[in-house]
Amino acid sequence: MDGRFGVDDLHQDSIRPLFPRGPSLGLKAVLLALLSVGLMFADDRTDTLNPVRSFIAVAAVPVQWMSSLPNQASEVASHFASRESLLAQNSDLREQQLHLQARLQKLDGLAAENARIRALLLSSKRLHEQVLIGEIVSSSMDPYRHYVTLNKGGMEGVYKGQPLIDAHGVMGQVVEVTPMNSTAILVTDPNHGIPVEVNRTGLQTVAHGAGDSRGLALPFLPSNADVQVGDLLVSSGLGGRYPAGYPVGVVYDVQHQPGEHFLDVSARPAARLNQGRELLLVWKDGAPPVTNVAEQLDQRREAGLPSFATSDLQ
Amino acid sequence: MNEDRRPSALPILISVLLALVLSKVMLPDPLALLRPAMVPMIVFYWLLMVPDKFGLTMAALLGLVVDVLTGTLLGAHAFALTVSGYLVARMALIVRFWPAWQQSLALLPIWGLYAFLMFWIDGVTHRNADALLRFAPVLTTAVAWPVLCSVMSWARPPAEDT
Repeated sequence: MDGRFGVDDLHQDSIRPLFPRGPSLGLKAVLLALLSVGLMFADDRTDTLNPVRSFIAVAAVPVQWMSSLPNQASEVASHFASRESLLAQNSDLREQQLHLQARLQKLDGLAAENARIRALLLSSKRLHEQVLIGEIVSSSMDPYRHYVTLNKGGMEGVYKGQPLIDAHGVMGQVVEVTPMNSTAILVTDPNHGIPVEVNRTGLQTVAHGAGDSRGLALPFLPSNADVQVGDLLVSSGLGGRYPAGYPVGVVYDVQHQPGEHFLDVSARPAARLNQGRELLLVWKDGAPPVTNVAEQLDQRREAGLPSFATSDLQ
Repeated sequence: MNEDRRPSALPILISVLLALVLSKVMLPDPLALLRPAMVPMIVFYWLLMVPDKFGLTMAALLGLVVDVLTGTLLGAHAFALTVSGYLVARMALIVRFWPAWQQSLALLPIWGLYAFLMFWIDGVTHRNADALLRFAPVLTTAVAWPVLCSVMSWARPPAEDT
């Protein structure tokens, strides 16, 4: 905008309008204005100018495209910005996933417990007897004294001599009752005997506890008795204490010592004595437990899981 | 030497294209309200600086392009640019030697006229536009004028003759 530039421009450009060849500036302006007004009028009232409009629009496509460039650039920028936030979100989610994983492990434990309790309930359904779920609160560590303490006692109606079962078989019986707790002897205790029959043949005998190492022993079988490895022993109910027909153990060893009168038969207890904490207290003839959770859960699971099968015992 | 000093058509074309693009670039709403009227500014600049190269006919044609780009009535911008461009061309001989800020003040009524013409055409054709949208750019255009002048003199420096 310096003066020199202006003066030069004056010589070149600005003198010309003083001697115009075409129409004067005013005339030109009037003509163009009138033309514009005419265009406006035509465009407002008719559609005849649509081809002109579209022609100019096509010609102006590059302008449209260029003006959209900054927009696209900002989109690219937001792409990078969102990458940052994605990274942050990612680490957040990772952390959360860790927390949830930990909780899930707890849930796995709960689910397993749930399955065990349901199995217990199913066995009670089979028995058609009143049951109460008890929990083992402590057990003796002595390998030849198999006693457990339960969290149910006289206040819940537990009585001395009451049988205990779990999902897989007979566990033992209550020997001592206090108002809040009770003590039970397990079938593997050497002081315990349970009348059983061999399921395959109906052979009656008694299974004694034999401690941790052997499980159960059948001491009074004559040497010609029909007992094989794999025979299932079920409670016979003859003693009047245990319900009949309930798995007690599976024979795993039959030996005959020459010169002895009796066979040396060992059986593995059917109940999982050292696995899990839940067990069932069984009432034989309707002395009702105080809380009848079992029945209610039972009804809900009426159509349910397969009951424990002999295959569980192998 | 004088032939070299004559501005060719190229800078005009580029600047006009840039103005068209800038007037179309998407802006956030509050900023769009303050967007200077880019096309009229560049039209007036060339009308002031090289009236023999860039006349009213060019202004009117450019107005048509703007009409298509902005979707207004065909001829609306052309009409407004023609009328206000005529006034600019009339005062070109005087105003072109003024400092930029003084030019800006002198052109202010013409921006106002331009905005009013657009507003008026909107009204006549029953296309109710926001009055603020039409008149807010008047002030920002006046502010942007010196900026435009300095940018143009930087992009199109006077040839070095001594």
